[in-house]
Amino acid sequence: MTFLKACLRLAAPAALTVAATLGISTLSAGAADGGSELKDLYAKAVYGKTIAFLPMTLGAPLMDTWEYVIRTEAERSNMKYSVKDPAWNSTALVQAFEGAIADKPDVIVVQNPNVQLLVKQIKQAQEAGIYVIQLSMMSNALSDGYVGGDWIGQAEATGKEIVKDCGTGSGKSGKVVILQGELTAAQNVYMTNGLMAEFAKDPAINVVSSQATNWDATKAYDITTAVLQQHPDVCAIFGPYDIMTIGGAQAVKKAGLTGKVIVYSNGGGYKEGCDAVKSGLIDKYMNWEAWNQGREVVVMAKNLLMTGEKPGSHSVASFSSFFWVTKDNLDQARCTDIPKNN
Amino acid sequence: MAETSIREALLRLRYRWSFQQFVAELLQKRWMEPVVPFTAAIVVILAFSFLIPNYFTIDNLVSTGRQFGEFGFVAIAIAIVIISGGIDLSVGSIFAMANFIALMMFNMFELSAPLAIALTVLAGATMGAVNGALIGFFGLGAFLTTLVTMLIFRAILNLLILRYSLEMAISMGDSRIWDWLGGGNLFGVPANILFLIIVAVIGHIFLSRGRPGWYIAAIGANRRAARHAGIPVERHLFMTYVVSGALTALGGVFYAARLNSPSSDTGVGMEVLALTAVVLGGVNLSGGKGTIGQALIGATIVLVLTNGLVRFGLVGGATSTFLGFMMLLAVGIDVKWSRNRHKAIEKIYVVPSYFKLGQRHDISPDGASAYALNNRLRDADAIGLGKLDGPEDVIFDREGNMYCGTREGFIWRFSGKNHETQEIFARTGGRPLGMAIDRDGNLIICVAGMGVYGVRPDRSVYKVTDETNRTFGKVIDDSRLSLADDLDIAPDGKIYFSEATLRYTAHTWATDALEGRGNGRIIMFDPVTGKTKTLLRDQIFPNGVCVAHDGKSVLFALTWACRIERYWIAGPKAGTLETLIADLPGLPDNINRASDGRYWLALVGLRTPAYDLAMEDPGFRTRMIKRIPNDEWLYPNINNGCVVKFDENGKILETLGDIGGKSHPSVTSMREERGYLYIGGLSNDRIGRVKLPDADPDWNGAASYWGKG
Repeated sequence: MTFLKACLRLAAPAALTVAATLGISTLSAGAADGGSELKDLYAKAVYGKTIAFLPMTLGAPLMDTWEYVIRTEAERSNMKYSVKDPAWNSTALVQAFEGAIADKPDVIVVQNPNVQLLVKQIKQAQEAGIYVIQLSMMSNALSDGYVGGDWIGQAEATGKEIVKDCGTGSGKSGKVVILQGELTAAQNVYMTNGLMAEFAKDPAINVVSSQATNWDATKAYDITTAVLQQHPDVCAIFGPYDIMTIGGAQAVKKAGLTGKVIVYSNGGGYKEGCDAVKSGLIDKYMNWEAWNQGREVVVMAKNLLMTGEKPGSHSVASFSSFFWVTKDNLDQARCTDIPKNN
Repeated sequence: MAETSIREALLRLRYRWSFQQFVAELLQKRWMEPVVPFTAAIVVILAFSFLIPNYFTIDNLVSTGRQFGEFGFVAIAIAIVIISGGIDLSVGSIFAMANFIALMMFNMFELSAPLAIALTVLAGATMGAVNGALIGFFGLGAFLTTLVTMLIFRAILNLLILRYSLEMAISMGDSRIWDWLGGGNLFGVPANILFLIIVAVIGHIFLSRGRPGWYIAAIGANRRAARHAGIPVERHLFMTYVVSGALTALGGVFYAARLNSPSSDTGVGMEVLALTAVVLGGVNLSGGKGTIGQALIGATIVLVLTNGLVRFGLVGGATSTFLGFMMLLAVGIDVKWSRNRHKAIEKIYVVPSYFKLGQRHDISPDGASAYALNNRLRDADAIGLGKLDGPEDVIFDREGNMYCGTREGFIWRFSGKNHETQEIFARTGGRPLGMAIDRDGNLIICVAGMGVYGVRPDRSVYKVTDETNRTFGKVIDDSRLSLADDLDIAPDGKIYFSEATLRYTAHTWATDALEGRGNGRIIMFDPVTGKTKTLLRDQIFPNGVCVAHDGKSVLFALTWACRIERYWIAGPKAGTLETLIADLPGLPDNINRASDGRYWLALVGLRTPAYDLAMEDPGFRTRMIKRIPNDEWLYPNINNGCVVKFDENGKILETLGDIGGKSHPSVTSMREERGYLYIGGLSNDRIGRVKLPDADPDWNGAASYWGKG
């Protein structure tokens, strides 16, 4: 604190000196007070601006975490906020997005359910002067910003882990089950691709099932139950979304194979994901911290607003870091939970 | 005394015009059915435009319009199937398949846009053909079949996506046609709406004017009857599913062009949305009834609702719950309404009014009155017994051949000295009632349900007239002749005829009596101009038209009013109406000329004190109609009548009766011919003949009108 004050005290004379030396006399007196000038710029760019959030659905831990963080952060930053719930329906999401364009918010944050949807709408929004940030799911259209997983990198890391656990030299069967999400979703497309690339490096790995669950835990349960009857010696099950994967893990538990079948998944580190690790349903959980992603979204929105670049002119990205959570490091897993009555 | 007359006047006034009648007639209108959903659509749109800011902007309307285009195709598709009495649950899956196939053809195989579209629509038609073959040709149930194909098509789609999604995710076709279909417009109208309008117009013409459309509706209304009528049911059912598949696929093409998204949740739940739309629009779920317009109105409601609720920020589950509720409501209303509509109309359709009749005459057989009943008709010779079913009227040509119409729509001819040659002379197709012979010897007939028709001596049937000028502001379309009843021809060839009632048919005419209201009219057809004109409106069941012997006036009976009226057509009083006989002891029907310059009058039934009293109490009759089944209603006596003769001044001269109604219970007509009187009855099984001792033995009706020729 004292250091900061000292700096500030120093700043004014220093600036004056520099100005005088360079012979620049056009600087206003206020320019000397860098803190308040920055605050003014910030307030002008951010206060009263609107963020419209369009997740694929609400009522799921991942989206609810984002929703809570983006909403509270936006409100604390004196921004306006709105959210729509398309309930897993991509047509409804498109409607909501087109509706959002008509409402003219300043920033649209969208979780794009697949890589090709919204290409036109994103362009329209940008033409209407709205920044578009894609959250967690990148698409074929580049938008102003992306916050979310580096799915290919994560798939590589996961693939290496599975090969280590089940591949040559592990003494296991090498049989792997992939529970895909929605087949055309970015997370699914890139992760499946990345995994298959890793698996191709080890001939011992044999993918015995790779079916779509459409992010549905019940479907994951059904598929896993059927696959385990055919292949009781499965070594690894991977699902790219924790809540869906829990369905598959329940099937493993019901078949009495907990511990024998290693369940891999990833998620946002919310309570439900961590609980699944705690109860032994998921063995290796890749946490990419949804809470942080929510904050990053708001930060990115503010940055875009402050730079004031024309929407569509630049693309920035923040790929989330990730780390493995297992039963052993659960106490350091940075699990989050949103307040019950918010 | 004064007090009662004021009360009477007030009662008359109160029942003169009825709002209930207006509503009942409105409900009967065909165009009333889409009015409710249409209003609902407008209300929904207005509500959302108030609730949601920026709703009524061009951009938003255009983007909502684009969504509507795709959904509209599916709604039309499912409507066509439902009208044919089926259901197509596979539309959502076909839609998703079409979306995927279109993207695959265009993006992956890089076919030209028109070719990709053609192949996609073909694929949709093929999927529809699978449904159609199973349902039409193999006779499987529509619900289960399309439920199964819905799952099968969806499963195939998932396999395709699993196999091709990675390639598709990265490929992107490029075509201006494609982009135009997905995002272009013409004069501000989105491309898919343009196509939807074209398809809707063609579809509407095809459904409402074309033979296949009528066949489809007939099959939907009653499949067995359609088959018996010779409609190729299997082929048409097959075609409805093919059309449904093709239209759905067309919707899918536009969806593909707009969103470029092969996502596997495309079209999930679309069948329920489309069903909701179609039912909300008023298409009958059990088949046979519905239009393209109704489907599109329903689609508008559903789309505006879903779109609005999403924009409104409702939680996702709540939106589907709300839509489910709407569906339930629509189906409930559809079932209740279509099942009970006619009952509801029946309950309020009959609107009794106040009508007071004068004193009844003494008709007792031993009384001194000219109405004194006797049994002169009891022993009448029976002609055509067992052959005739309900000869309402009977008439003779110059040669003495007898003609009468029957319930089946036949015109019988009895010729020979004792009418021994009995043959069906012509077939009218309706219910022949009153008859007359014109100057050229043609038989002119009032045919209930059709109008006025003629039969030439060579037996060919031709139309004289079936419509008149329409009354402005009347709900019921009174330009059609629904119950032409009796007619006569003036010396100048003009045909004067009555229409007994506008509100009831040949089957329900007796119910008109309960109203006691002037629902009928007198109409004139002029053969010179070919025009038909209504002369007198609001007549109480006008009937028994007869041109007077001097040709200067037309006599007609008002059945429920028990009156004979005279309408002047020539002379100083032309165009005026006067009552010739009031308060008859019975209900008058046909009036015909007698050989002695007087007139015969048929009384279809005799008045009863109870019914006369009921006519003075509209409230009583209203309660009766609402509370008890109609076979227990109090009707006027139409079971026991007689024939009376009156002169030019309306004086009653004699009566011919059949006490107890052994041979001629209800008399609807009589005709004098060469010294005999012939008796007809609307529900009798014969023509009766009695000798008239004082009559001119050479007198013939046709000759009395047109000269001995």
